[in-house]
Amino acid sequence: MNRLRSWTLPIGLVAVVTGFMLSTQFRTQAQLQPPTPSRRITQMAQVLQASERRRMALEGEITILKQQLKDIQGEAPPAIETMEGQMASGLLPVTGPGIRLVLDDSSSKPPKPDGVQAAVRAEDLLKVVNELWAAGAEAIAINDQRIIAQTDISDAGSALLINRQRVASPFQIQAIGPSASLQKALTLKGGVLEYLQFFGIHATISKLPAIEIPAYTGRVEFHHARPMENGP
Amino acid sequence: MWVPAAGLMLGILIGLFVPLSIPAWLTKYTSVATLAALDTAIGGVRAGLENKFSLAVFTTGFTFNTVIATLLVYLGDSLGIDLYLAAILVFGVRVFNNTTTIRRVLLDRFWAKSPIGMRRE
Repeated sequence: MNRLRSWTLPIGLVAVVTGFMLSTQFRTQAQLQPPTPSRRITQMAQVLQASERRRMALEGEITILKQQLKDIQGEAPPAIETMEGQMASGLLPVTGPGIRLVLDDSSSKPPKPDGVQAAVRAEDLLKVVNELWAAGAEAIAINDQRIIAQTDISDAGSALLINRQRVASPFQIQAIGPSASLQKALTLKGGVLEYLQFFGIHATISKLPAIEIPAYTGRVEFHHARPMENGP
Repeated sequence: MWVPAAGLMLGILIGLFVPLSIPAWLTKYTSVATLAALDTAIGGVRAGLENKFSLAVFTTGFTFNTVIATLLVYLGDSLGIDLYLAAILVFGVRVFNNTTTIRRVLLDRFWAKSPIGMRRE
């Protein structure tokens, strides 16, 4: 029994340290990459392929039906009503359900001890806007600046320019559209918000039933483009 | 003999509740260090069961293995070679060898009794 005692204690101590290191490692790893079982990846890939095929079949149907419509009507389809046209180009204030995302970089911490403090840049906002459009947003505004087709988002020193107006942190991005899809698109694994949060930028998303998005207040002038006479 | 096992449980519990988060760029090093610690602990249990335990060998083994494993990973990162694979291979193999020996020793000690109850040492 004496010989047994002499080794159990030091090994016990080392075992405590080992157990501590093990569980800390497990926790950190789980936070970094929750493992996706490969079976699920295959499953999702198959669903994706099936959806793609269906989409292409439907697009073929669209082309056929459009041709039939043209044959029946004998001319190009009628132009959109003025109201919808104005809504589509961002000239009307709109309201509807959607999401609000607030990006705050004032208290961000660098990811490495010697890293620089991260600031939200134009390219980050562009990525967010892109994801929102792709997920079905119908109207987007950042700090009450409506994002239209001609909107540019650029870096200007310490602030950003949107529609040629200076906007600064915190950035409140509002989007009207299918709330669930919009939120999911932003919070995808490996997506925009995860990327920004890795640099310590605070992001808060909320789903709201009635978001108000103002109209575009600038001018849209066409000096070079003019409507085509005979349609595409 | 179950002091080490209890110690392991205790360590795991402490680790689960201490809000210590390893920065992302450190995880490769700490994972190899953890494996080295695990290998040393299991090796120590085996030595103890075989009555060949030496405190000096054990403690120096623990510190050396962890430090050298971490250095090896760092060297691999600097050279652009996945040297951490070597560390994982070696420690993994040792863990398997040691656990096999422990299993054999325990079976010998507690299973190989003659029918009249005398233990075969």
